[in-house]
Amino acid sequence: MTYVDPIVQITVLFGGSLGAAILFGLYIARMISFEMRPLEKPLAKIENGFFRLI
Amino acid sequence: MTWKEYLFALLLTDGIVAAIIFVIFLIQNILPTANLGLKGLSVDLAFNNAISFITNTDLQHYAGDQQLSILSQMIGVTFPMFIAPASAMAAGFAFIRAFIRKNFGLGNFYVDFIRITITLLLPVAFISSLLLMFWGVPQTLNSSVTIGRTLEGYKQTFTIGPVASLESIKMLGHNGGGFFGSNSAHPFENPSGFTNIYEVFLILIIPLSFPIAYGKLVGRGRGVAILIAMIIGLGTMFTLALITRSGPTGLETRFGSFGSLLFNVISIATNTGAVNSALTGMSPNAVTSLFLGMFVQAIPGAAGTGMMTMIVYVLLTLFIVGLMVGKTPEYMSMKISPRDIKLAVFIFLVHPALILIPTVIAFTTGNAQAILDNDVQGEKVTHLGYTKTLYEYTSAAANNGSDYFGTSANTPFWNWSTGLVMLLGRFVPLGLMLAIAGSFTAKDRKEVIEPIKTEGPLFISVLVIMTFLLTALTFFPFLVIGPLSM
Repeated sequence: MTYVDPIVQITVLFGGSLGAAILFGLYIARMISFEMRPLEKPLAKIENGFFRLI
Repeated sequence: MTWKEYLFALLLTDGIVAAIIFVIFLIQNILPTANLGLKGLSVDLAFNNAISFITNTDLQHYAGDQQLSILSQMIGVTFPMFIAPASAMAAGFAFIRAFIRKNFGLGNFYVDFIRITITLLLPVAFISSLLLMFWGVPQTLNSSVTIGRTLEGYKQTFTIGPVASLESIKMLGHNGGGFFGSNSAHPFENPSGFTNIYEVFLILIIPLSFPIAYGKLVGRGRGVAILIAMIIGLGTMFTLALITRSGPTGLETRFGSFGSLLFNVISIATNTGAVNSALTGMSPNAVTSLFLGMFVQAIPGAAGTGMMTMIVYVLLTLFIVGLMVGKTPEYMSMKISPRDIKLAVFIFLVHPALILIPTVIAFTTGNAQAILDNDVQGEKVTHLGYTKTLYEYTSAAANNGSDYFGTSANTPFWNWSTGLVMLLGRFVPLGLMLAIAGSFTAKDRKEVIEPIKTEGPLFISVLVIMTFLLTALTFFPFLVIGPLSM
């Protein structure tokens, strides 16, 4: 591995993780409160297929 | 669903999957993809494995690359890696719903479970698998590859398999069980410093997203308070680990001391349990910090369960602070009843009981000494030996999965005892947390300002201090005779 400064590692890691966590968190909030999610129609179709399966 | 129905559905789903993978492990030798000479696992090891994977622990008393067929790796290992975190996240969803508004309901387990698996875990794991393949992680149904000639003139055979697909959900779902015995230290699981950072990134996404979702639904300040408390806890763990330099023995030279600590601390703080270096290479401070993460289980903890555990700490904090200032404990303008506090205390106490009682039994029956080998000097067990034993049960009770023993703990005593600890450590707190959710969803919300604000710097400080204080009071004596004395 080429040397990467620990502070750069930490900054990239936590910056990226928090950024992604905000997007995921908002998506999860919609799932929890049964609100419309992005791509609701295609997602619902796939889910309904699984519901029928079980 | 009521909380009882929700819990029953969760137990039923996990129970069916556990039964299926138990049978697969037992008879893997007669199923497709079994290599010549591969045996089915013993009953105790199959039990341990089935419980380990369905409880999101992934404690491994076997070497995957040598003892499991490709089918076992795919259905027995990778498949429950989706089921276990989806179950925990579904429980987390139900728990959060209890606080949104009165009679909002806890939802339906099956709907949550399918939605989480299909629209969250599968797509992210699929994309991550492709990225890991691109960065050098193998993904194939072949079980080995023979490559050219070594410098000494021999052909060399490497074990491979569907590693990338396992690796992505292993990290994303806080599973931690590796395809290879050496887990993420193996270059096929974690090929470079870049994948090392990427895998830690995958671990952190879901635990950090839960407080954000919580904040969005019940008030931004409350979610931010929990998120900051988690980050302070994680930062404290990491700082403690960095105080003394770990290694170089036992650490992976590709990642170095910092890369190893970063991976291990975050993996264990999130109850993932994957490691990219041997725990024996860690300094006493680093081992103490790992224990701290497994004791608290909420900094940030695993998908779903970390968030729920942190709210249990919030309830305990409000109760204790309420006693100090003479106020009736309330959360979000809902009275915290004596039953809620009893349940929260019971959740807190189950953990030390599941760690300490089996540790004592392991020593008094001589089973600990039997596998400690060099750590027993005559009749006397060293601090390192005690630490290894304490770590085994702490990891099992916290559904973490990292351990010192590895395949040496593949004995009936260790397989059955850690199996039971994992089972109870998973489903008893989960059931009690859902009971708390059931209680809160039916409570009246008063139209007055809550007596103790549950947001802002003051509450965050009190929550962090109280969490560490409760943990220290419970476990400090055991840390002193364990890792702190090494």
